Amino acid sequence: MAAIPPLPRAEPPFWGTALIDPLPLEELLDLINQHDLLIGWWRAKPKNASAAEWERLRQGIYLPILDRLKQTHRTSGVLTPRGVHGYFLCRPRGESLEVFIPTPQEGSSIAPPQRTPDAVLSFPRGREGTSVADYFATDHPSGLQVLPLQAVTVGPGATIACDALMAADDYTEYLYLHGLAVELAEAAAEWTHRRVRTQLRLPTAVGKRYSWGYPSCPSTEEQRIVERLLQTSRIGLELTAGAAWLPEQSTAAVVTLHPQARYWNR
Amino acid sequence: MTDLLREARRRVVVFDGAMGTSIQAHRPTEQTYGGKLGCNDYLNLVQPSMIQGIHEDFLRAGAEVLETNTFGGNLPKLREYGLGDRLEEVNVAAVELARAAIAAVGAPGPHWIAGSIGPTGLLPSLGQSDYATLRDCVAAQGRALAKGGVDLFLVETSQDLLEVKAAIAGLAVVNAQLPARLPVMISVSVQQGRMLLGTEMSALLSLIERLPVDAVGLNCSTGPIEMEDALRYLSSHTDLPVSCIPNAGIPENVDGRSFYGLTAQEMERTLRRYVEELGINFVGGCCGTTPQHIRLLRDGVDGLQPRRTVTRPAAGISSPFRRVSVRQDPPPLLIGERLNALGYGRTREAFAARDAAAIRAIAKKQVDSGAQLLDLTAAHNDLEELACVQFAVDALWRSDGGSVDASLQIDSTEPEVIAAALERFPGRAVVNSFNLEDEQKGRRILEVVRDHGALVVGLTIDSAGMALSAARKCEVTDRLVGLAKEYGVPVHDLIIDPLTFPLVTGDPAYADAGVQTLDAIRAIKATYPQINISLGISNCSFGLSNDLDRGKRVLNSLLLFHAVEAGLDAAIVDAKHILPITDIGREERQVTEDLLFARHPKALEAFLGHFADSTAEEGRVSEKLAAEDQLTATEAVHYAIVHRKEEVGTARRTLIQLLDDARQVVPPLDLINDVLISAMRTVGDQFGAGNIALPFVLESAKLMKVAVAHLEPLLERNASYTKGTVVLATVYGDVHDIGKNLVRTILVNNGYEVVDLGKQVPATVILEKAKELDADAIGLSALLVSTSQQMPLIAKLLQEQGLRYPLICGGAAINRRFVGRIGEGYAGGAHYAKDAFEGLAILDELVALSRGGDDDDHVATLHAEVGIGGSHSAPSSR
Repeated sequence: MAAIPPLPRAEPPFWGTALIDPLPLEELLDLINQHDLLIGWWRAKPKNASAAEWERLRQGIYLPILDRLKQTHRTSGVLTPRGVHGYFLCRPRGESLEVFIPTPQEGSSIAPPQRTPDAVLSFPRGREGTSVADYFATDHPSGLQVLPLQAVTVGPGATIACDALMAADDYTEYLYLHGLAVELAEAAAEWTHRRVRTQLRLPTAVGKRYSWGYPSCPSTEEQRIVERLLQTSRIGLELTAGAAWLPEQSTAAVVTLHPQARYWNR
Repeated sequence: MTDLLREARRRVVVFDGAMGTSIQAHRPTEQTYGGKLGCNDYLNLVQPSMIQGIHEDFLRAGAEVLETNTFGGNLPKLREYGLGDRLEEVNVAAVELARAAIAAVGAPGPHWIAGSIGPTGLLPSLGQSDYATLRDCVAAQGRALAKGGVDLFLVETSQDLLEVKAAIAGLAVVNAQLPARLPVMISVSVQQGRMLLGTEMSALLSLIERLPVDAVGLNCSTGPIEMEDALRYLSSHTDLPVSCIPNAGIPENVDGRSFYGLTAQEMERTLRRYVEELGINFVGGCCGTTPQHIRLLRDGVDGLQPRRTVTRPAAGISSPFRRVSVRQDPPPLLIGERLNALGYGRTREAFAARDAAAIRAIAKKQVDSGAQLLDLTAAHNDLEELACVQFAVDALWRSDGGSVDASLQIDSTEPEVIAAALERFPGRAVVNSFNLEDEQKGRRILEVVRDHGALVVGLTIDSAGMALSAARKCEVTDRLVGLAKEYGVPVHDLIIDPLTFPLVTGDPAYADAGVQTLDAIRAIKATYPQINISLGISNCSFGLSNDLDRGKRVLNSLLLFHAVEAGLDAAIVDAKHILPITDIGREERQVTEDLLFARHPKALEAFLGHFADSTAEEGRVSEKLAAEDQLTATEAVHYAIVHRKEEVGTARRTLIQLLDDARQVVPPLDLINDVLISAMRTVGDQFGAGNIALPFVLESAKLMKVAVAHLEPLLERNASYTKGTVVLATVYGDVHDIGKNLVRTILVNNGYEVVDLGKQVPATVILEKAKELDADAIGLSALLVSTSQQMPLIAKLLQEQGLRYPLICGGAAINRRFVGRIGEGYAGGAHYAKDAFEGLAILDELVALSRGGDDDDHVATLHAEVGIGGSHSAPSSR
């Protein structure tokens, strides 16, 4: 395992959480990953299609459909993206991060030895021995680094509209809207991540966003901590008994600041 | 006195903190208030030393601008306390107290006094008050503040755009009577980035673009952090100085009193960042802020220079919610033409009957088909124009009726009608139109345009009549530009309509009218690149009979196409009647362009001939349809499902008609089993072979559903086409049900009875339902690793209860191995399906085996298959 060098402590514009409510729908629609939507969710590309054939389908059929959907849902009220993000303090301890909620009075001058952590997040090491917790190493004398967390949702309207389309046997429209909503949640996460980068004065590509349910943070149960820290109920977001976010098209993430941060598969 | 606005562009200037909070800190009683409990403004008269003391505290803390204690010093508020006749006294005293405080403290200046003008509490966009009343209220208060000697007017905590517009008009009246005009600062209150009625900052900036406003910003409602998005928009889209005067956080109710939790340090840090990052020019504090907040703020920002880059967009109009650029990409801006009492009978009836719902319906339909600006005219002999327009604008844009998200183009020749419409519209509108036929009338219209900061359409008409040649159109445009300029209307707020004439009447005077109009567009754009050009498109096909509908559409579409090429920005058009250029055939395009460009003397004849005899045109399209005609009814049904066609053949026979024909030959049950299900099998095979993708499959499935629904009532009693029954569920804890829904679609449309239990379904519910129906199989879906653990649990439960329903499992987090292990401990067997079609194949096999009475061997058979990969992935970042 390559050593992850510690970073200076980042300086957030505020401590605690801030709502981004609503998230700017128009900008999110522009951020939608067209490839992931058409290939991943609409599964619009026939397996045998040549590059030219797919290009014809993409431009002739699916991009106009995407434009139509975007046009409709700019004003339909079905998509109501909301977000919350926050800055906490954390200290890596092996595969874990001890998390401290900074009170407004204490701000960054928090003195953790006298405090028990408000939460502990765990990030199992991958095959190469790296844990997401390693990315929060700091040379700040307190040993505390800023921990940005974020959660976004496209709101409950997408599920209601999808159910209505399904009930009306409008299967293709259902497929399209469902995919659009999922990718909008992704776009919302990306938008919020960019906001975090701006606020922490990080360059565009520095740091990564890790969501639960993937090899680097596999346990979706850990999201209960995020639910509590960000008080996600304020944007209508909660976890089910199975630790799935409700509404369905929602996602939460921990944001790393480290230039060496990367994703791994197992 | 140093010019405040110039100073604020050079360095950030600090306002004072909360007056109301400071007054409350004195714990005032009814006695303190001189019997007018709660009337802070009256304290100027009865507790002058308290108010002066508060000002002095803020001055000592470093405030450079003092806001007078006149937030509620308007007529409606003072009347609530029976102080309506003391308005001038209250306001003048307030200014004097601020001035006395400055003299008493003697701190190094400069200092300024801002005359605070708060809301009346009555929202005109909800019909609680009206423009004229509010304008007069603000004028009365503004006059008193000016008499007292304020340095600027501060209209603050505004929530409604129409209220803002009325206040600006009121202060314009006051300023016109002063020897030197006083600056006007507009400060609105936002929550979640929008004003009370959903207004975005883009609409606010658009509204004030051409109105006499000198600074703009935000105050009250929230702390600074929540203001960031709105502030960022303002600071990057206007040249005006921008202010940020937040509360000390969002108020919380503590023991029945408002408590503001944001510390002075936090407030200073955020506001300093806004000065540094966003180039904010004014900072200060609203509710909950104390001298301590202001002291830290002044120390923190003192000497900072507000710097920012502004991208000023091109001319914009606005709806009550957002700004819309006149320059659309791609052009043109579509102007809806149907709210026209002259051209549309239904509109005229709705106006005459004062039918708000009908008027809104006409508007919404246009907005749905892409119109962003709605032309509105009630100029008709049968109608009372002024009253109709007032009613229609209220119906469309007053928020209590459900505001339409489009801007207004008021189309009238009467200045009074135009003014009445603009006074009711909470956005930036277009006035249609002025011309030079009667210059005096044109001037009166331009006065209204100026007072309301609207855009205006200029028609190329003068005393010699309508300009027909390109040269005349250009020459009249020059004069229109000159006249508009006299009224402060810059070229980018001008929309020139160079006129369209009918091309199909055979009138030789109009033969080359299309060419002239297109040439004029190019020439005007070359002279005035910033000017906007609009055309009433459908005029060109005026007079064409309705049976030449195709010709009408092609002509309108091609004129629009070429006009946009020439530089057209906006078009009055019925968007429904415009064809994409790619849908116009080569030959029809040829004859139409010959007419449009007057290429030969017989162009009109050829055009009319072509469209009168356009069966030839349709012939080409019908080759394929003719081939479809060769199919028998049952073949056509099969063909319609496989090719996703709602209509087949030259006769455009619908699927339902085809089914009705087919069942004359084949009984409904066989039609379902042998034709429809076989068609779906073909679709499935094509999908499996990789020739088509999922959306096409679902289109076929939808038609299948329609067909079966049509045939079902015709089935003989007891006849059943059901191949088997499946219970389907997304497991407990999981809300991701797209996989399950797609499986249901495919199974139902391939002849299975599916009982879909939905998502988050507890194991016991699944078991009970399977028992109740004696299901042929149970289908389980889950997206997450955590929720997939429900699957082995369900198998265990089935095993314990001695049940043997085969399980079919799918989902992103599971694979063949995982399901294989489930199967090892369960006698009913568990099968992995990578997608809906694999699920269908497994089910077909299970049913075949069980009908064959060979229950025990199917597990082994099915386990022989191989494959990889999950069928869907998680909706999340990595």
